[in-house]
Amino acid sequence: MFPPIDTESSTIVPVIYLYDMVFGGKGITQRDAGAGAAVGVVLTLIIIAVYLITERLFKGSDLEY
Amino acid sequence: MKKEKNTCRAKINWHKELRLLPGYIIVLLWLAFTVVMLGWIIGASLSTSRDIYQGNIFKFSTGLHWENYATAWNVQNVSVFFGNSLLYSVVSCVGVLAIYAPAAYVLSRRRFTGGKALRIGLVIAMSVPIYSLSVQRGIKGRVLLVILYILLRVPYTTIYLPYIFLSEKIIAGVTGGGVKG
Repeated sequence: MFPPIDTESSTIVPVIYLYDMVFGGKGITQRDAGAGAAVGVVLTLIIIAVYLITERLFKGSDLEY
Repeated sequence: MKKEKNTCRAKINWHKELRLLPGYIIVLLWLAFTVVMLGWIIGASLSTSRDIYQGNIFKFSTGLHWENYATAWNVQNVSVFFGNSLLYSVVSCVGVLAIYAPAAYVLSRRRFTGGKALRIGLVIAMSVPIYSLSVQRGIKGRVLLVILYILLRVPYTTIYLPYIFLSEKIIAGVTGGGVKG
């Protein structure tokens, strides 16, 4: 039902990369939990930045529910 | 002329605040959990794998390992991974919106033959193994992911959005006036 398919770089997103970095995966020759955590920190910063940008673009007072 | 400061503050209603106390406690616990998790991952990003697996994250016995950031970024294609994330989120959002918004509007506002069957079909569609079917047909790579992101969300969103479209107030707000359904 769920045949395995090879991971290719065009389908890898940062969270998959983070997982592979920590727990190992195709294309990752050496596991490095510290580097994986670094990816997580950078992702957190990107999410905060995107949140702040969207908050500025679409102010809460302009929206009605 | 000196600008007058607005020093008027609402008096705290302690009785009301006391009733909200359980909610405050839950929010504070969630906040503490988030801060601890963020602190942990920041500590881990500056530690070695050995320290992490031994649980010695905040001791930094071998110093701060800023090179972890460089290691993570020196892997080939790392910029492609972030580009992939942006591409999939934008394409799937546009695709899902383009399908489910008109579909949900018609399902909620129009009565037509087969409408009910269509709704039931959407519920059944949630259980269709789209991933398996796509792979069996040789679809892979970017196309597979885009198909999965769109098709897995369309039935769910099309089922729930009609309840929003039934609200006259929301429709009037979106269209800038009334709507004839």
